Amino acid sequence: MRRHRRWLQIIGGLLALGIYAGSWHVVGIDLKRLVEPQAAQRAREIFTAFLAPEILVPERGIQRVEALVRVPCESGNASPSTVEAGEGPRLFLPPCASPGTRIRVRGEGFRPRSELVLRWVFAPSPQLPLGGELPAGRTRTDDAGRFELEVEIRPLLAREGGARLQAEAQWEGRWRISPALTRTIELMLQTIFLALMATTLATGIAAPLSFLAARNITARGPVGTAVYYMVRTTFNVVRSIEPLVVAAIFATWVGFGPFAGVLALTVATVVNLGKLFSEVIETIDPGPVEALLATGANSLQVIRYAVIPQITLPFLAFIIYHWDINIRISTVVGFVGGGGIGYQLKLWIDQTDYHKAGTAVWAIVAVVSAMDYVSARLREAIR
Amino acid sequence: MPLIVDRLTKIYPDGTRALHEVSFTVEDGEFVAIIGLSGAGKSTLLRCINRLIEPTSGRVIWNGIDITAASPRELRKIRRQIGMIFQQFNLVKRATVLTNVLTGRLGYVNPWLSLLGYFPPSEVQRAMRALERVGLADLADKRADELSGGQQQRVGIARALMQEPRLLLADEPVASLDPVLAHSILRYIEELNRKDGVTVLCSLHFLDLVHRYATRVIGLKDGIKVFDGRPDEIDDRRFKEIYGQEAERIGG
Amino acid sequence: MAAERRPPRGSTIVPGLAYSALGLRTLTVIWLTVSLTLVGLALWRGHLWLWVAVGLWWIGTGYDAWRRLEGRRPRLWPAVLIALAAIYGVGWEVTEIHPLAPFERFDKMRPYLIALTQPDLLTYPTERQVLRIPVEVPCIHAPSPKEVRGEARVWLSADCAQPGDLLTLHGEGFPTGPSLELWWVNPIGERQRILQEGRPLSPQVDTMGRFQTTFIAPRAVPLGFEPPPGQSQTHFLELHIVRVIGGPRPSEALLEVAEKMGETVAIALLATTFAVLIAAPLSFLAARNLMGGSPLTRLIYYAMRGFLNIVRSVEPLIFGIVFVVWVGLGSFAGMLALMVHSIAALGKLFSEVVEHIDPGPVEALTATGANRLQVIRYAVVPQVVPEFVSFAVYRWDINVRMSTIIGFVGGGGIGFRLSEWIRLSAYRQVATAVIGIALVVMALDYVSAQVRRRIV
Repeated sequence: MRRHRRWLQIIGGLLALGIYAGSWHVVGIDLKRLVEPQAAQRAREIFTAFLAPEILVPERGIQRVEALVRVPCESGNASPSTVEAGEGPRLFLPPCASPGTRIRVRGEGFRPRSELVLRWVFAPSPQLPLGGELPAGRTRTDDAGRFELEVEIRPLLAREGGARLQAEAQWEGRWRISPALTRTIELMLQTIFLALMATTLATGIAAPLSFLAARNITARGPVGTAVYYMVRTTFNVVRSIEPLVVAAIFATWVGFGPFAGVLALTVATVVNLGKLFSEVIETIDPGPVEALLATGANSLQVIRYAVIPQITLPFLAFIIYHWDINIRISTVVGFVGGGGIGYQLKLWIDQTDYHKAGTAVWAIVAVVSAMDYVSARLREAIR
Repeated sequence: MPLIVDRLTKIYPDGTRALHEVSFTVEDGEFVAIIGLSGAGKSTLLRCINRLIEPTSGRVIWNGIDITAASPRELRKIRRQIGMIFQQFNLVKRATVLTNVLTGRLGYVNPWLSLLGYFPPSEVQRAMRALERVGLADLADKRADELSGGQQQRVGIARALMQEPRLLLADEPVASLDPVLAHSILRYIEELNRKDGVTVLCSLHFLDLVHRYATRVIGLKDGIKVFDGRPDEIDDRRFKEIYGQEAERIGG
Repeated sequence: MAAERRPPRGSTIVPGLAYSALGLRTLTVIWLTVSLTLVGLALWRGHLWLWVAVGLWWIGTGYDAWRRLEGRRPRLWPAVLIALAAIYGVGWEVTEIHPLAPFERFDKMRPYLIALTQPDLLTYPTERQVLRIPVEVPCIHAPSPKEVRGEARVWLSADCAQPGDLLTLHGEGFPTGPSLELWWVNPIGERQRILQEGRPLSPQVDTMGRFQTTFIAPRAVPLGFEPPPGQSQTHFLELHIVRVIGGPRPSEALLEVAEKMGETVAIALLATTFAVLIAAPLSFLAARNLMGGSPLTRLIYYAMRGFLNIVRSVEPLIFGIVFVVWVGLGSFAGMLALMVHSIAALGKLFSEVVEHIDPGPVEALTATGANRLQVIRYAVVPQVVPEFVSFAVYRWDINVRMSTIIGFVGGGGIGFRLSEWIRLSAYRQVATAVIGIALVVMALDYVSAQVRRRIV
């Protein structure tokens, strides 16, 4: 007997070993990939960015003036006079120049003490079908908002017959709430509402269905028993399909957007709540039902006064619990086109905008933890 | 207008014979105690009278109406005149005391309005009077599960009072309560019997309570009526007939 | 007694004040929360009707507070209805609910429902014989009928056509056994099946070996390869004579689903195993009863708790995208994502198990002079193992479900193929995958329920 058992243990152990070895191979576990220089670099980038989510960004101020400079000057080599361009901030520069020389560019009325960039802007031409830009110089404006700079006339300018010289003053202004944060908040609200709508819809469908799946109510007679098993089986089958799969299919059905997410979550919640509800109904106290029947109440009155008061609070607890679960799922249902924060989060990560992605991740952490806490407290309160 | 029970028999689907050809007649105003061991058929007998359990055969006639032959609609009309109180009180624990009492009136009020949770003010007043009568008027807004067992049973009595019953079925009303509380509950039932002239059928466990309150005793053993008479007629021989040879008398 | 403490009636102007003056704390908090929520929603959406709802909520609760002051029964339901209507109104708008869309666009769903009854499970090996008929597109001359002769003869009603033109094909001398398929090949060799009312066209050969069918010339000119004006391109109509040779075999989709489900289960198995191995020791650091000793251990306890809670609130799929960026596409990334989330989830459950152990043995061993690690090894571990195993099995169950979708973000398993099939509208393959998932998940669900029943 004992030897027998020993053999079983050895066989079981070998089997487990085989399963794990196979899994290891299939999954392609390669711990080196975690620490390869490139991978480690990307991971560092992501996680440091996550630790510094984009919440406030400085307002960017920009002033721009530009003026055309022809190269070379048409009328021989006449010494060009200075012309003025722009209103508000103004630019003083010669209207034309010869290649290889330098021109003096002066500016007035810019924002004091700001970064100033000069660049040539080319119009589209046969050589440059999309136009182009060329840096021309960089300085800072003084306390009075003025600057002066010498700019070289490069050969390219002669080939193109001149270009517009653009002066751009840039500065960082007040800190403002970043657009990523506003977007995140808006999408998190959508996520919460997505879960709310799905949970409510699902409750409306699951509550009556659960009576059909309750053994003590439905499983009477051959028809009732058949209905009972049918509803039960449907619940179990649909429960095994993740809401995201349903959402991906529904996105092609009703179109991308939160409505597809609502429907998918509704389906998942109906089967989960339906099962839980039916278990509540199966365990109600039959005493009040008997008492009310004895007073001459009809069956609707019995349900209203003896059954519903018994199941309301447990139902409510399960509903709150599923709202909580649905908020978690609706943070990712956007990955397959189901609305909520998920789509934007994936987009930001795909665009390597990791600081913005960090904003979304922290918002998810905050909302999910808060809901987790609130739902636990609410469920305690209504017990 | 007596209650006539005629050869009442109940056999459960699993073959248990809970009642066998039980017959008796109860005159108005009697206080009948039904005694017997657990499983002797006391609960089944009471429930067969208002057909919470369908009897297998036999008839129950009350006020000249055959309850056993009544249609569902007629049955509800009859049930609303028969009060019932239970060993486990059978209150809706998560509803308020007042709502629990009002449910006793469901057979009388407009069924559709009642589904919305509406009861006419006159019914609410009636419920408050019923609660006053059992001394619980100040607990009307409490949830039923906040009350003690004795208080819960008084709510059960108030619920029965709402029906303005002519017949009261009490299924072990004090078996879940302390002996001290048992007397207080039974006194309310006795008052109903004496003052309002309600006929009472009450299953009881303790003989001293039977002697104290009942005017007549019906003894059941294995679903068969083995005794029918006045409480003081129960001597040791009769006692052993009802409760079996090993039983000892305790208490009164 | 209440009459003496009765707050002034004027307080009902701010219902929250009246509630608080009446000593109704919960109601005051609820009133404040709902008021702030409604105002917030009104500010966000900026609809007039939301401001109206805020006003009505105010009035409704004011009425209720006034009734309570007067000593009458509370009447809160009108205000509650208004608040609910406002919240659900916003929900309706924000989630873009369009109740008719499922019906209007039912044609997009029908193929899935049909496919579920006929998933792609089996294929029959076939041999095809192909007849090619050149068709000029578009017509630059008057169309004339075209005949092709081989063993059999076919006639096409026109030798040139515009996309959308109606063409008739008939043939003679065909064997009656094999089925026929019509394909259209464009000048760069792209092949598409000719459809009729959305379904592949398959003409029936009658007993005389003849058939006739009418179809619409498809739009097949490839983008960027349009012929210059006034010229035409040669497309081909292909008639395939498909003969079944041999018995049924599992279809490619079935084989792939089977293989990928194996991968899915393997991902879940490894993720759960690693997570248990890591979470079990961590959970002791997050158990209050073991870490309450000194300020340092208490600090570790709070740090551990906070860490577990944060990680737990991030769905595995989100870790999935991060790990895909980190280690690249594939099941390894999916496994890591599931593992990280499971560590946090199991760590919390395990630490609660540890917190609820019987303190008796701990006391007894401490009394014998055992050190802290010895106490854990001999007094704590034996108590927690069965519950740890039960939670681990439960987690494995969840991970199997999760690993069916971790592929949606590139994390391996069936999800990757499934999302591709959904995108390509490969209905029958989708049905095969969905059925495969349902079977495996339900089977493992049953097994894990049995295992847990045995253990606890």
